Amino acid sequence: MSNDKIILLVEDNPKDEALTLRALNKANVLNQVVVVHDGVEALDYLFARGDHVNRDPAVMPELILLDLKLPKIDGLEVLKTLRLDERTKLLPVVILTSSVEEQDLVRGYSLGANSYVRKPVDFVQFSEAVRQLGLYWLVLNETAPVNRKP
Amino acid sequence: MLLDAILEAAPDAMIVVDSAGNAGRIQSANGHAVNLFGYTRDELIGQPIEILLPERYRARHPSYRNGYFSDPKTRPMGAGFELLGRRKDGTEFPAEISLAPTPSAEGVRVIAAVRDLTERKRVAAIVQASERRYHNLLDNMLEAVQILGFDWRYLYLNDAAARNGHQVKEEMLGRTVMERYPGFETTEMFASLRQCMEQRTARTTEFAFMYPDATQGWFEFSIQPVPEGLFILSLDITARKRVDQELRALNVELEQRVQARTAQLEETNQFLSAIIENIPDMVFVKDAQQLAFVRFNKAGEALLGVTRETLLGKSDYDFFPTAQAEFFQAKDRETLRSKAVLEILEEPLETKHGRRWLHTKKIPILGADGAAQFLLGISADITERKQADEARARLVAIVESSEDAIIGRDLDGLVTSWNKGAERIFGYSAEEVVGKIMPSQIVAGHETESGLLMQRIQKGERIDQLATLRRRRDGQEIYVSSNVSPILDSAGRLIGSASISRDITETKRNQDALARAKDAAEAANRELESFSYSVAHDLRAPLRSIDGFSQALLEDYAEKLDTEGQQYLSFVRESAQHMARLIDDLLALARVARSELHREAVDLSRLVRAAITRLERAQPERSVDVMIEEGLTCEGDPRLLAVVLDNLLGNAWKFTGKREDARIEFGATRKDRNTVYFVRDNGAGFDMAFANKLFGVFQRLHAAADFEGTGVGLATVQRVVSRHEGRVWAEGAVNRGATFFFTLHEQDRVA
Repeated sequence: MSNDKIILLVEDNPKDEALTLRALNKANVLNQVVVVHDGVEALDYLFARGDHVNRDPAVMPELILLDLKLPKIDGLEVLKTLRLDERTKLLPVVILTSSVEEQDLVRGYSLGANSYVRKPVDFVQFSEAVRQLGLYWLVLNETAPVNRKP
Repeated sequence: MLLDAILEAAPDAMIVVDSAGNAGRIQSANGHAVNLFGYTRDELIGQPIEILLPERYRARHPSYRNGYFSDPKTRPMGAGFELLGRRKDGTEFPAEISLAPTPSAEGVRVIAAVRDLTERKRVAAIVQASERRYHNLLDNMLEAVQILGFDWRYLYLNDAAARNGHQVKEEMLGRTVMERYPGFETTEMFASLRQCMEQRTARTTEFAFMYPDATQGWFEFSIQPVPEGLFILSLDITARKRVDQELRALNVELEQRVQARTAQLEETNQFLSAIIENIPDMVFVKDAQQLAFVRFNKAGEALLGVTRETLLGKSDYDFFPTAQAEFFQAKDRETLRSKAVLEILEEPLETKHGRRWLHTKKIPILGADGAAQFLLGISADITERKQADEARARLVAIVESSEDAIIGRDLDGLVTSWNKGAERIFGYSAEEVVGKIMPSQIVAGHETESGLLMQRIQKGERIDQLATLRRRRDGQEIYVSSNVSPILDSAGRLIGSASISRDITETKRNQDALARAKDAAEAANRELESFSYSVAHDLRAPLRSIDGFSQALLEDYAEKLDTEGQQYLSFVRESAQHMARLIDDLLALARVARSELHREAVDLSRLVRAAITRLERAQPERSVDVMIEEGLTCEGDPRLLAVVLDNLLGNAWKFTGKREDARIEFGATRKDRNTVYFVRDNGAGFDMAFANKLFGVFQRLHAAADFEGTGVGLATVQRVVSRHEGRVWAEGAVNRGATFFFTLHEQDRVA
């Protein structure tokens, strides 16, 4: 897998963050992973504002791994917002969360999530899940072309 | 001498008068002469004949005498003169004298026969007078008298006859009938007259007679043959005839009227009879003396079940038990005595159809003299009405004793009935309310309800269970639930409304409380939901860390850990994973309790197959023989039922894990009226002694080392099945498998 496909990980729990990164590592997903820790930061990053104002907005992540329970703005809000913006409308979003509550599933998909994966407690299973995610979304899946500024 | 003898024998007075010499001297006179004149013979003989004359004639007489003697003939004397004789006593008398000369030696003598006409004259006078009177009579008679000669001439007719004939009497006398009445000989009358005239028969008959002026009259003729011809007595009966005709016409008219009247009477009679016959009440008439039936109508026959023939002429005693007959007759006599109508509002009567109740009026029928002649009875069968009255009384009792307010109103909204329940609920007594508009109990702000209500009632609608806020008489506000329905008469027309109202203040309070409690519960539920949601979420995260980093340790620092250390870390991992499962299961259990039960058709067989598929996919290395009865459907919540099957099949899968020939079966049987589903396996089974612990939360009958599990699954199953009004139970034996049965929507469930 090439490096220039960025994975945006939106995760507030540092332990989960560490585990996810570990899993990605174990799965040989060597892409650059940008981690943001709450909803506001997620949007700031995507729209190159706030703390991320210096980011090149033309460069969008290839995949967004989105946790639902986030401080400030929660995951579904983030999803909703980025689906409304032309620049981020078509980005693949995988909701990665420990909740399998039905309403979250429904709302997630309604708001435009591409996939919904449950975070298992069993790390081995978690690693496997992550590996499969990476394989699918970063290798197999064709993402929509995004307008890039020259 | 012969002459003397003859003279003596002659019936008349005979006087012989000398002529010569003793001229005019009486020679002889017979006995009659003596008697007649009153002289003796001797006084007569030799006297002049003139002594027998009244003095006034004596002077003239000799000349007559001499005249006779010059030419004596046999002839009456003094023709055309009334001769008078004079008696010795001076009285005069009328005489008829006839002279006869007789020769004698002395010369011619005259024999004078003298007849005293006094008698004759008297008789003649009488006759004349009589005739005159007779004529007068005839003349003055109303009846017309005519005497017709054989030549049909009027010999006599009276004024009446002339009048009748519209003629003048003088013009008729001596004329013929034909002259006076031209064309008469053609008439029937004439034929009749002629018959009488010719055959000398008498006849009385009537004729129509045509006057010369062409008018017609009617006459009654009595025709008598008389020596002169015909004597006809006729009476003008024109008037009488007219009267007769009028009378006849009148009679005919009368007859017609009588007939009409009779027909009318007959009609009236029939009409009255029809009325009596058709009156639906029993009508009977008894005579006043014997109180025997003389009239009985059809309704009576129907009521008693006997024909009138059997009844007429008999009395009550012949038909009814003595006691009853006595009662009837006592009432009859009372009526007749008091001559007033007697009304018996209710009396029982035993008939062929059982006991009937009658409302009877007894009416005395009096004759013209005021005495009672008949007893008229009219009885109405009020059995049904009595029963209806009793039924009504029962209904009234029901209405009165009802706890609910039952209120009747007419179309103007006036209260017609107000029961005890209404008094109790609304606080107004019946007297205050009946006949008036119902007191406004509508609480301010709810008035429009009442208006709309009335409109709907007037359209004939029913109002069910309308809850309104009302104010009692004492001002207290209450909630009332009313059913209002229209009252229709027997023709289906709206005549009012009836409402039944229940005080539901208590109920409403309860309902409100319940609603509030429900809201609170739901709120609590939602709170719990989000709570458990976040709890679960928050509880899992650390577990992930525990597991994750333990694994990380195992992976990255394996060479720094001995076997035990590694084992410890795997224990840590296992515990974290177990706890995760517990959290999931508990969450599911809580959700099952909370969630709404959807009800739809559920294909259990399909759910079973889906569950099996998931299990196979999770553990593809296992081979399990699975038998699923197809087409088993039921009604229930598909998600929750999926949970049940997941749990039961998951258990079956798990507990057959140690068998090579694992077999799992799903099917259904019928028991009584219920379908019993079952999941059967031939796995580890369980000890039936602990069967009651199977479904407790966290209860396990197996060691975790043998079979892992949270002990929550079956509790969840039980909760779902219970919410579906079913039961779940299990049978098993150690190492010989287990069968879990469950029912849904159980009929005849014994709690």
